[in-house]
Amino acid sequence: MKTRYFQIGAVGTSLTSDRRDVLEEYLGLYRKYLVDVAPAWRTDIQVLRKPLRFPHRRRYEVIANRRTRYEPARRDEIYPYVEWAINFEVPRTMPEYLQLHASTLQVGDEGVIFPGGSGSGKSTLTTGLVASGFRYLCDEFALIHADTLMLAPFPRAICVKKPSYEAVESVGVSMSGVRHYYKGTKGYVGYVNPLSIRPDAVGESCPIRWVIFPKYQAGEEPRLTPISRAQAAFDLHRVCFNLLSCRTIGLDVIAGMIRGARCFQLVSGEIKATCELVKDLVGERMSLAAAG
Amino acid sequence: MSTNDQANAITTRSAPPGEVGQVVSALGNELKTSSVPRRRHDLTVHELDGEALIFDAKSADTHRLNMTACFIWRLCDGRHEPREIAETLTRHFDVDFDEALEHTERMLDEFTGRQLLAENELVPGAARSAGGDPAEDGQRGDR
Repeated sequence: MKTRYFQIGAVGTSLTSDRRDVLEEYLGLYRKYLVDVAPAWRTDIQVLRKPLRFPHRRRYEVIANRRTRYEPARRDEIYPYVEWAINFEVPRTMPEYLQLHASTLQVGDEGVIFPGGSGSGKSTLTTGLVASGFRYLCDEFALIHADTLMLAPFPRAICVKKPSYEAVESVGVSMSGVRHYYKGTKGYVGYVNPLSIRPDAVGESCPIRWVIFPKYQAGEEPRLTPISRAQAAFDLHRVCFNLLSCRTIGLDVIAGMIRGARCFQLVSGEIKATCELVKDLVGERMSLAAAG
Repeated sequence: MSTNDQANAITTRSAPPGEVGQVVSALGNELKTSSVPRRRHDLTVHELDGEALIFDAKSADTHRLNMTACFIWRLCDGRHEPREIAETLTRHFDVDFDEALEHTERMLDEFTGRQLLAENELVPGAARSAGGDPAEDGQRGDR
């Protein structure tokens, strides 16, 4: 049994397993974040093989902070469940952050968040924008510090669903060397290491200046529509994981953060055109970032 | 004040079941719009560009008020009767008194239904205390 510790942006984790291949797989995506000392605040994940004397039962256990969370039957389900277990624990173990269901990026020194549920196209859009020069913070959470209102990075591997492979490859991100996993109702997915897109792809803590709600509509011309800050704040609180369990009242954090942001709804269609539209919106910041 | 504006004046969302830390029993429908409506003092209110977000910790409900609803909300200070609120509306929006009064009463019903006003509490003589335009008295929420 071996344990490895990771500090992935703001999120500390440990992974313990009796399966060397599971550890190697995780290291393959997160080697850069390997640390020798256990992070003080972390989620402890264990992946164990269940005894073969119960052949009719599921074969693996994914345990998060000493509680069994998932019992995947297939080898290629383990990694998605590890990610899910971490996702599940983050809102419980990091009350100093307000956590929204959103992908997050950095452009210049400004944060951009794309709030939305599953199927809104945020991971595909995120991959495209990273390939276009944005810096990556996370494809699943906006972690907003309750006191500073700064957006924190959690640069986990970007989860791309198989139907989106073609779109992602059209912006120059190769999925050919990416291992595929089975993720329940989402079907097959691949995990893209953002550092494989660009060595400097990962961003750092920054203030939120743009809130853009994406909605993927196949075949639609991409378009942006400004919305009021109150509407954006109301819609943001609907995708909040810990509105009441955050250290501060969640709505206070959202209202404080949104005062400094410009807010839009985005109908996203073809990935390249959508990325261009978003780049045009924040173009001035892109130029500044390149000049810097 | 468009029809659409009136129809979407208040948006409410309850917290998901797992999120509600302490749900108190509903107060029922006994609450009535007081003749001098007054906001509950225990709500968290954020005004954003003339609109408002209101968080009710008792019910864990969040409400969004559009500009008109927010304007009326600000005047629910225990000093203004509905007719005075309507008069003030006519000075700030392109609307005649009858329409403004109808809209004000509808909004007050909405506020009452969503339990955003203090329990029925007549404040004799409180109205007409200050004069001037209370919508411009600098009140920016209740926090």
